[in-house]
Amino acid sequence: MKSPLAALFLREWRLARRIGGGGAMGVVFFLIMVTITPFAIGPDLNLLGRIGPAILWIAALLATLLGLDRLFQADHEDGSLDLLRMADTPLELVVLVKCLAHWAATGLPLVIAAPVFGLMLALEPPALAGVTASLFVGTPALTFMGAMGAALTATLRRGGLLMSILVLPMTVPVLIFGVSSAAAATDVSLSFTTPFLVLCALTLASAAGAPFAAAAALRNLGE
Amino acid sequence: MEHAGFILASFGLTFLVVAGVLASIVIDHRALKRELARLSPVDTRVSPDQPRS
Amino acid sequence: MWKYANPTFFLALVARVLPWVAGLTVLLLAVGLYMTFFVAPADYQQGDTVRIMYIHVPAAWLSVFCYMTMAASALGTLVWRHPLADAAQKAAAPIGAAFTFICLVTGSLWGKPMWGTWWVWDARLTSVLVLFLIYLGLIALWQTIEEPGRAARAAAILTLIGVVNIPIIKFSVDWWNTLHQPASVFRMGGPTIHPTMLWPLMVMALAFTMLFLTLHLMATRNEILRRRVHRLTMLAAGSGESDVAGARFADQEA
Repeated sequence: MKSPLAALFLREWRLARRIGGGGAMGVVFFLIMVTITPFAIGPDLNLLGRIGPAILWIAALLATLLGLDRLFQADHEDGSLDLLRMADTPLELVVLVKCLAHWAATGLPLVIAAPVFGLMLALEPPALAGVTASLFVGTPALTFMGAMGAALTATLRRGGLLMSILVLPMTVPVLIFGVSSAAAATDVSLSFTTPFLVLCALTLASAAGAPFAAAAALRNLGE
Repeated sequence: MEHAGFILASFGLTFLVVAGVLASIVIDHRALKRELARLSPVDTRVSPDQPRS
Repeated sequence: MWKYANPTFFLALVARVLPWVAGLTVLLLAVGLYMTFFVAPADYQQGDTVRIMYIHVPAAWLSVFCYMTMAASALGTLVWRHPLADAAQKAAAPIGAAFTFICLVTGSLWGKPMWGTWWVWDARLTSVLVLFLIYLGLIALWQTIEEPGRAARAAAILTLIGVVNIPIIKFSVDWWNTLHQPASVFRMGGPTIHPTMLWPLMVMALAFTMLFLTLHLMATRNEILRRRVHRLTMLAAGSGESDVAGARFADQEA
């Protein structure tokens, strides 16, 4: 554990896995969303199978965002954010590592749970694979975008709600290409690679850009 | 003029929104002016020759 | 250039320029409205409903122009930390939201007789709707953070994130829309618009831009004054003279 970034990753991971860390709660929330949608639209398996990828994606979007509001807030409250800000390690890298750890603790379980929940929505095996692959590639982008919102609202009491308002419009592209590539897995007339590659590009671009925006927002908190 | 209702509604609504924005800015301006007038004497009262209240 | 950016100088400038700008706005609006209703011909397909275009298109133009103004001010806030940029940025958000709202509603009112529905998930409409949501988010952010300087920098960061993101959103919505092939939707003629319609449209666009300028100057002035009030209140409270201010307030009330 020589590198400070590795130490930070482990710390974040442990905090997220601990009781109250919210890692497991994201999956439970995901399950509840999947459970509750059929009550709204009816138990018709054909219909559910058709819109299943969309349900899974919206559920993953909300689960990711709801878990993110504490990303910097907790650090701000106990003062560790000030330490991170004053450390030699650039704040941008700190944000990047925090996002990766957070995704590993909360996003990855969603991806693993997605095929199981997809079965409940009567998805065909190709669709299951498509949804899981697109979630695997796309949810990091959601985490990065959410991190920008979390950094902007870290000191606010109503931060969670405001964060969702700020971030959700920005996630429209991820949702579009995520659902498209998931849908293309079953429909042979549609191309799978195009939306999937765009989704990869979105994730990489947000990984490159979001740490700078989030770090700028965090520095603003300290002034 | 066909569809006169729709045309009238869009122009009327645009007028209402713009008028609303303008009114809110003007009302805000008046309130701020009043507030400044109330606060400024406190600020400039450092000069000793100015009478209190 | 920095002289003009001084808030006090700006207030003096606004006091001198505002009557002219406002007068020009009224004049242009009068001419534009006259041309809209009496000069511009009715469309051979859409009839008189096409007259809604003369407010819909300028409003759409302003919804983008206002965001660009905000983004430029955001740079001023982050790079030069200028209080005038903070004020300009804050003043622009509600005005931009208002024009985006006008664009959406007039589009809807135009769509009902032309397309038969109040709303279609057309690429352009959807992009504007997302832009409207971003405006609302910015306003919410402004209203939530109390300290003016900090709120300005947070909003500036969000505005610039939006600058990067809005073209991506536009692109993806276009892609999504072609994927889903909407029911036959009427398309505007693009550059083939006839001069008798183009001229009124240009005049109205100019009139709306001047209208924005007028409102923005007034609102920016308000924000500068609000900061002064904020500072004076802090000063009065901080120097232990709040009792005097309180007494004054009581005097006023009596």
